[in-house]
Amino acid sequence: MATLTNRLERLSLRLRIFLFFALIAFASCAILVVSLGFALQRIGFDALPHLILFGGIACFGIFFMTAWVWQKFDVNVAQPIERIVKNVRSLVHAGSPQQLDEETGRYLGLLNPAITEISAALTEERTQTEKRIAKAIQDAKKQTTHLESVIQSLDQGILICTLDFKILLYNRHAMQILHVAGDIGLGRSLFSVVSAAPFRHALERLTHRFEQGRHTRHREGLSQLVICATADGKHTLQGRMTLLLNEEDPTPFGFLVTFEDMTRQLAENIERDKLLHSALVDLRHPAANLLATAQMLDGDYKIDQDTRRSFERMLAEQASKLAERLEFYDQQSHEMLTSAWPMSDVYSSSLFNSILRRNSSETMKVTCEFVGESVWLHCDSITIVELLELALRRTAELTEVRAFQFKASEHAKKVYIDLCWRGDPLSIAQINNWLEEPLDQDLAGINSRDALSRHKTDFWSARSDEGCAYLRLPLARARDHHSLSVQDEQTFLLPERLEFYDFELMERKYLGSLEDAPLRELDYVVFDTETTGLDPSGGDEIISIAGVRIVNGRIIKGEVFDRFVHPGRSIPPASTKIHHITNEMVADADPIEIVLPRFHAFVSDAVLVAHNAAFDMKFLELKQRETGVHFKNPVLDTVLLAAQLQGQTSSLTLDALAEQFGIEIPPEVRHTALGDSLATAEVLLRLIDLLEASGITTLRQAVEAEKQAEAIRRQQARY
Amino acid sequence: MTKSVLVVDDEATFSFALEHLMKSEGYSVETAQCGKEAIDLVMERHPDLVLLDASLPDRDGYDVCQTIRSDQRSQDIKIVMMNAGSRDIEIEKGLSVGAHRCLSKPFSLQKVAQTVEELLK
Repeated sequence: MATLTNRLERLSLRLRIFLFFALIAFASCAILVVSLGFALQRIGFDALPHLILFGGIACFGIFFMTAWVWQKFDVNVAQPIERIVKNVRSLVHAGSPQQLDEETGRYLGLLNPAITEISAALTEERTQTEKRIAKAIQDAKKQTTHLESVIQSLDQGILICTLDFKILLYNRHAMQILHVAGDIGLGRSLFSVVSAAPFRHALERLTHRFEQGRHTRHREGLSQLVICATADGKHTLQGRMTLLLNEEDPTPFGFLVTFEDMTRQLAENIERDKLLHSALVDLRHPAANLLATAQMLDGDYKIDQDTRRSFERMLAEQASKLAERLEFYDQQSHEMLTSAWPMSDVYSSSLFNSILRRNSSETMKVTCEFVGESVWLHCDSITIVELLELALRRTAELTEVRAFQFKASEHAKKVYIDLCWRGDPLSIAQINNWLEEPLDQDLAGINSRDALSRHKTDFWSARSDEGCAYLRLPLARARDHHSLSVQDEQTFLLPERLEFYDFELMERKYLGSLEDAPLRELDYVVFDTETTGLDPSGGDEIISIAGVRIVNGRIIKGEVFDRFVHPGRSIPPASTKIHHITNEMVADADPIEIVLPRFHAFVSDAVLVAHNAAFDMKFLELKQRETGVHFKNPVLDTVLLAAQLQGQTSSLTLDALAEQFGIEIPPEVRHTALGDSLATAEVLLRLIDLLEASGITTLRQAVEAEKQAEAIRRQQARY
Repeated sequence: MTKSVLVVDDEATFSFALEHLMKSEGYSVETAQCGKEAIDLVMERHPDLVLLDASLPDRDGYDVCQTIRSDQRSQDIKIVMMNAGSRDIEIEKGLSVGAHRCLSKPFSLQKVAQTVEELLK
């Protein structure tokens, strides 16, 4: 009996009311049949045909009347109640009620007005609460924003991870240094971007140091040097890992890593070491030969004329060899362009602007302008600014000229910085006079000669072909190409990441199987595809694929996947009308063989979600063989989840659900893969609220609910 | 008429070698060990060519070069600068301040002889 009651409770309200009316009809007919049976016994069997006729008419009447009353009841009571329930649940769980029309609940007395009043009161109360909360967190947010901007603009890469190496925070420079565009992500493993062993080792050492209490007296405290490679093995990073402790209960909860790219520096050091080593070995031989030969000639040895002559020739040969080797190493060392003093690439206009600002502040009454195009150069900018500013001042004093021009030009591996004026060039003696003058006091008392020596360069003045005098300072050209490489371009073009940390990820305690994990704690990739048509088996192809991550119940709008795909066929105009993707737009795009593996890497082990997932998954499945990519991830479908929650009769299109939940889809992104993915992600978050309210809290339960909804849809489709 | 060469270098060994080289090539040779002595000799003897080391004990070799070239009395004298530092920069600096040629040490005697011959022919 209890099981039957439970089963009945699970049926929808409308079905239950229908069953109730059906029961009344059958019960009435049964009573009528029994009554007619008694009548038959009294009257006798002669009346049987009359009684059957009478009974038939009465039963028909009962069934007709019951059906008519049920239909009226269904339309005017049951359906409005379902709509009101759906609306109330939307209001309670998703906070976005829809205004019911006056017709709804017309026969339900004051229920509809009462619900409307409750809705208004609840909405008002919510608004007030939200205002109070917003005000309360405003100050805290201001502080957070400052901190965020500091972290984002730090020149070092920063990562904060949990003790199981899941990324909780990263900054923009981390992405640049790690040479990743979309792979890094909150909640993902650190080892998707760097080699594992050095971090495991460092964490082990730090944890051990902390457990033994040695960190209090250890020189490095809870910090440890880490040298590792990026996941692709192309770059070497040097970093420092610091164990992070809980405040109230001093136990480690994660670690902070600050790091920088050492690839170039290491390569230069190795190159310098190699050069020094080979020079020492290489020069030793001619030096030994020279010494031996010279000592033979100079010593008190008995040697005849011919032998002496041979020794003299050998002496000349070895000296010449030594000179050649010296020449070679001199050349090599200059090509290296390295200097022990830290230098960076600077744009010449930035350098000149700094000089101009100093010049005006010094009230030297000289005019100075920059001519020509700006170029990138490699120097210690502060020293060079001081040096050039001193040169400008001294030149103005010596020549009594007041109008100068700064010009930068590229010559082979050098950039010439020329200070030009109309008049006579300076003499070497005049320049040498101020080379010993110390530059700014803040530069540790170095003078111009030191500055030139640091840059392996010199100063001189002469007259140009155009007749102007100039003071020339050759400097090294910038070492990097300051045009964006493909990788850098990807990083550069990424939107400012809105979400680059989530410390709540630390609170995740669930370590069991994915199926029993709470829906709210799962990582999702909500995706959508745009295609050439609706028939994947009939030759239609994907032309655009996009996905957005949901981590810890939050849409990570900064971590998106959005690519066009070259379909290898033309896009029918009818399709272009819907998604506005033309053949030209995909002409330079990568084919699916390249895009799908990248999407697979983006998805990683997340749950895949799509609106009408069967359609998109069919396209992906058909490409499995050619791309070698298999999506074994669990899949959720927002259409089926909504059907299960709201019944099959309501509209389940993305637009309808978005409208119901108050989600705005800008018209320009609707029917783009990324726009629809974002809208579906928003819908999914609202559905998770509703699912939880219906007792569906795990992935397993959600999949079960989907199966039920799918079965009903199939049955409906059959009719 | 015999052409004259002034060798200016404070390295005695090197100066000695150059002196003998130039003599063996048929030039009359004077030597100087510092910048001041070099300029005095240039003004007094007016050599056809000066082999000038860039680093001298009293004055900068480039300064000496510029002085010789800027004086009307010695403007026509050919100057070959010899330097041992940062190759391309020093060569360019030498040519900018008036040297006709620049040679980076170490160089072969043949190369000096050839350079001098080219400039004095």
